[in-house]
Amino acid sequence: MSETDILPWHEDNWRLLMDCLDAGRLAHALMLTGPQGLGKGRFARRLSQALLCHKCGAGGEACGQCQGCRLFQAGNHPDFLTLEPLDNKKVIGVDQVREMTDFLSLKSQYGHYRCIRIMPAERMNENAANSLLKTLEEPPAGTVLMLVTDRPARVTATLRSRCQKITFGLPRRASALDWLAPRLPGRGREEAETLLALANGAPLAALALAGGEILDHRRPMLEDVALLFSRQGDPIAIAEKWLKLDAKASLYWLYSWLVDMSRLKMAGPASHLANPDFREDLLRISELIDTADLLLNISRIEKAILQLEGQVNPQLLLEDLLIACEVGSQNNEMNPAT
Amino acid sequence: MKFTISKEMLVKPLQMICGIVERRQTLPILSNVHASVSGNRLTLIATDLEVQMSTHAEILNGSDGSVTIPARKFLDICRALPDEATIVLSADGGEKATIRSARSRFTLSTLPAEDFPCMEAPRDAIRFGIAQDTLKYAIEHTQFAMAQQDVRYYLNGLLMEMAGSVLRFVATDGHRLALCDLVVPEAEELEKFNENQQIIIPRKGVLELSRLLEESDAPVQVAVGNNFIQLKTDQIEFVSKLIDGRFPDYQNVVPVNSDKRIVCERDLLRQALARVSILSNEKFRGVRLEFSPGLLHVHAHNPEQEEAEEEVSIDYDGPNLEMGFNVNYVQDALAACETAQVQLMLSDPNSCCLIHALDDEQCRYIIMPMRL
Repeated sequence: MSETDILPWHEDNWRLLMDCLDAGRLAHALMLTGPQGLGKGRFARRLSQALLCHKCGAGGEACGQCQGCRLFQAGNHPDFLTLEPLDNKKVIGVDQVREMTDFLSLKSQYGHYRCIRIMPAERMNENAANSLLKTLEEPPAGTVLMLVTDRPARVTATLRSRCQKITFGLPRRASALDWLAPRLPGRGREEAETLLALANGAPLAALALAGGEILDHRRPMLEDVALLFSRQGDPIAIAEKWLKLDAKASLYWLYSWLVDMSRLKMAGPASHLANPDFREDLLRISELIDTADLLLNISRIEKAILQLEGQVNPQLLLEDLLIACEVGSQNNEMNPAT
Repeated sequence: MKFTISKEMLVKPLQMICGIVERRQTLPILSNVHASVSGNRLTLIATDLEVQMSTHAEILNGSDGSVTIPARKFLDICRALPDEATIVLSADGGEKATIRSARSRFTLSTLPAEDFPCMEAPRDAIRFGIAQDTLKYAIEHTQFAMAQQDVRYYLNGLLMEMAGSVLRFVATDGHRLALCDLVVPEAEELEKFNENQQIIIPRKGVLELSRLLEESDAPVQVAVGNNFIQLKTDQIEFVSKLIDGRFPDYQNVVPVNSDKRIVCERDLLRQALARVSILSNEKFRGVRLEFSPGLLHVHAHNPEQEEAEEEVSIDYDGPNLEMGFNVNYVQDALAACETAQVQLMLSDPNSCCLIHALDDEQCRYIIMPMRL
């Protein structure tokens, strides 16, 4: 799959922006939001290439032939800039935004647009966001800034209010499956359906899951959780094991299982799950913990997922969380009445 | 593509353009030099997306084509070869280029020439020719007043204004301003434009230009487009992007009704200021100038309560006047005047000071006073 494939669920937004462009009303600041795994960054890239193309074809699509497109595809277009966290960094710093301001102070090389893609926009630290404000409000003529984020609430409110919001929704399950299934050679439609459910309906995220190794570790990880809740596992050892796999992914899975368990507890064994393939196991494990503790643990994990993006020691975080989960189920055992 | 060239023909043009190849590049291809052969001419291009330089060299023989190769490594290799060496470079469109010379052989990685972001020569440009030393003079007598990394990005450059047959350069950082007028001999092109045409050349381009231009009356061809300015001499072609902004209305700042005229020896004043400034506040650099008939009293003190005083005789017969200035700005202006005597025009302590060479208003310097 190449970066330039057109994703079918983008079409509504694409047409919307092309209509704006034709009418000369394209906003200078766009915020592309929606769940992770929908290709919002790719949409920004596609829009940039179309704007920088010297002779746009039908539907406003870039021609792919001209010098502008050639440079763009080689990643060398002088009028296109992407701001993303630098290697080994978690945030987009103020220096990067200042570089962008310098970039905008000069005229464009080809006299067309200048496009700036900031992703993920919520990763800009406070200083960076503040120094962007002025430019975002009133950039030089012919500039389009695209802020890509799947957590608009984490973007400074002053930035959000200066952008036109373009929201990406999840595609319908059937059409997402139509797109996903042919891209998963050697796997059946049912497997694609499971992957899509695991990815919360986001096709690109499902595709990434299929390509990664983390899926193979799901089953053993769930067994760890079962041990933990029946007070037979060692939280420190489990934390160490999970850390080696991937702290972020394991937190995510733990979260999604616990959420599924709470669904099973409250809505019965037939409820809709994010992990349909583990229905039996989840039902079994959910017996080990009571609802109040389950909900408490869910909110703990939510907090931990956010903390993991900041400056926190992942090992300590994971150990702390798993111990809390275990203690929670212990209390349960000691006071069965609660 | 293939070409054969003698080392001495190649090294100098290559060296000239390698200066703008930055070590820290955002795009990998910018650390490469674009080499193309057409006939018996080799063209080398380097750019950092703000400025671009290209040079030519004559080759002994070769076949047409183009390629980009790592600039530094190419230069280092060529420089390290013996003086009388003949260099053969060949690139067959693959990912490598080979350099051969006598018993040496180097293989360099390449990137496709089509992916190199060249700046195109400005179309529908204003074109005129001017002597190199004249242009260099104007740039060197104004560029020191440009702002550095100011948030008012349009001040981080040099304004070039084309009005009739006069070419005017203006630089300012908001505290002082330098202005230089040039008369362009072949100004037919300029006169075609009724309105004053203004462009702002970015700081980097200006510094690079003053380095490039030579102290000779050889001509340089200037072309000014919407997005670029291009300067072309026999050896080199220089293109700079322009700043996308409007320069402030500097003409309002130039004082016209200053009634107090002071003439003094430039060197005496400079030396006096240099001595007094030692004890001025290191941050604000303020000095107090007290003008009285025939005498200028210069005074400075610093937070440690140390003081310096100097007297300089001047040619002045107006009322007493006391003003504060940033001594660095005054020194810069005096240094740029270059004549034995300079003229200061003042009106009152809250208005700016105009400095220029005696009876010569080609270059003018305006300094805002300080409240001390």
